[in-house]
Amino acid sequence: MVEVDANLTLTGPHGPLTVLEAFEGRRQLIAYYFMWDPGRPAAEQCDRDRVFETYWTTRRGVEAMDYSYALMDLTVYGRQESWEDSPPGWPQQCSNTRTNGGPPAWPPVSVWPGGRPIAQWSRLEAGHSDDLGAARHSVQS
Amino acid sequence: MKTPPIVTQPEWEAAHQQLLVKEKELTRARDALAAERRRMPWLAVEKDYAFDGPEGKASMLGLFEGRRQLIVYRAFFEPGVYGWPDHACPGCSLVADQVAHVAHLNARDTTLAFVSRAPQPDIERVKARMGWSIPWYTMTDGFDADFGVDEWHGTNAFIRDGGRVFRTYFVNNRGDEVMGGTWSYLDITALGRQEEWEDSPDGYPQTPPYGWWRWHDEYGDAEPSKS
Repeated sequence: MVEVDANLTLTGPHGPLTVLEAFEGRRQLIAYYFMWDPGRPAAEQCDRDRVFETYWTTRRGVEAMDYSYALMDLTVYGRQESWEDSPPGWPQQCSNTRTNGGPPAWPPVSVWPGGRPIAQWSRLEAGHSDDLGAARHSVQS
Repeated sequence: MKTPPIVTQPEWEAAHQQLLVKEKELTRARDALAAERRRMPWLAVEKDYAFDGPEGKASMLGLFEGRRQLIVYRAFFEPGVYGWPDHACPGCSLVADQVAHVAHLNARDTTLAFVSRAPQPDIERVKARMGWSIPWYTMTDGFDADFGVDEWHGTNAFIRDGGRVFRTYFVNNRGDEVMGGTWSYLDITALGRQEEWEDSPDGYPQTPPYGWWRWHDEYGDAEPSKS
């Protein structure tokens, strides 16, 4: 990563703000250059906090950027999911969609893959067969 | 948390240029894979599937809305699924959140639709609550089992030739992560982006890139690409 002047000034809907303020209090910021007003931001000094540019993509690289996962893949933390190959200590949570039980508690599984896909719960609740091997083509009501 | 090294701008540029080689490899591999998808055999859809839509009963052909291609995402929203009846499943809701404006897909003669088992009044309510405008139908038969989306979310691509419908592609699991953007959706369709640079079979509809994109409120009655 490369350090960026955190006090670079932008103009927002509520007037001038710094790049640091554009983070809105979060730890990471992704900025897309929407080609509309090519005015260059002015730089100011800052001694309070530090900002780093961690990645940059352009041209066809932007194609893959218009949805949440692809945007997260650009960031230094990635998706922050436990399966990712990240440096030790990177923030990661288990965020898969399988659980060890049904509603209302939905206890998440700690190991991927495990538990049951969400889709199975409605079937079980409706009293359909729990034979997942043979049930694939026989559970349609 | 131990961070990677903090470097100067030229060092950062050099490191970025190095990784850019891999980025371009990935982009070209993605194009090559999409070109192979366009050569996948087609599977005729023989059953008359029935859906409930905002305007009442709809057939499989009806879901096309007159366009040549149809992309169908199965979203889990039904009694028993976490969040019911206030919400669809969190993962499927995330997918709905990241769907781009469909005018661009429509301009490539392609319709996007979501299908769930929830009744229409519930779908309409949650769409309004969440700010979604994607066409969203209720499945009434074995469509989900027949197209691999009865136990897990997934995205099916179809094409029609007059009144005949064919299944052309399917992605699910992590393949669905990249769905939502116009390009990703077009890349799983039988016709692709329909742009001249693409490696497609002879006679496929293609027009120049950069030429067909409009503002989403200015497509009007613009003709989609024709073969």
